Amino acid sequence: MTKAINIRAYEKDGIVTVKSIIRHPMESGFRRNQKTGNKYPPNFIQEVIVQSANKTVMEAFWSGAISRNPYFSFRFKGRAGDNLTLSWIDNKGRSESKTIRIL
Amino acid sequence: MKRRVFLKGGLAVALSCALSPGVVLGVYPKTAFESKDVAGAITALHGSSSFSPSNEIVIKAPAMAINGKVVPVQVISNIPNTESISLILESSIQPFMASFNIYGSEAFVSTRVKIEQTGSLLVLVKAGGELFATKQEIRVSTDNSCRA
Repeated sequence: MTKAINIRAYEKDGIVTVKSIIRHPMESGFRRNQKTGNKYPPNFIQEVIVQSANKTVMEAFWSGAISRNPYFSFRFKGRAGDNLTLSWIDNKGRSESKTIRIL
Repeated sequence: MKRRVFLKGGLAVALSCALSPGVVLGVYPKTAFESKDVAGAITALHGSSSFSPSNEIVIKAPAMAINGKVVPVQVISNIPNTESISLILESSIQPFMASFNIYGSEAFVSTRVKIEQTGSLLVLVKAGGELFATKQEIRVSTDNSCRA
């Protein structure tokens, strides 16, 4: 597994802020190769799930309209010290997940 | 094709096993993403395309994007019981960009999107079974001709 997920999470006043960058080409399938005129095949993350303390805290459905190497940040009610797992799966069926501790 | 389906299924199972048991995963809204018009996408996602405008949704996005490939968009919904936030770009061939399911009270998401042509970004919020929306126009400079 390549280190494709970069993620941080910190708690302040009961609210956890998660910031992450996933390394992924996010090819929409509409972009054309300038030389050959062929379209690049789509390759983008379809689903991102974040769980903490055995609960789903965020579920995101994406299309190829999200930028390359997507940045994703959100907040939820949580506690410092809990584990946080971010998982993604793309349209080719590739997936990865990373678990960190909330600071 | 069969192999792909098989691989996908296998990985989906592997992924759901890796996650803790008892978690119900949502279904990827494929028809909504493939829809070519805004109303079709909203109907495919929520079953109805009617929504009421709301000023409780705060969009933080540039009025003018220098680089259309990376446009930061931040959304805060102040509507109580927000269930989901969807980003829809009216000028795109496939307008439905992304959807975020919110679990809990904090309705804040921030990401970066691709915007090829100047158009209105429609942020749709589902709260308490009802749909609310706010729009913001984002202009995109196509080349270096405009450096405002």
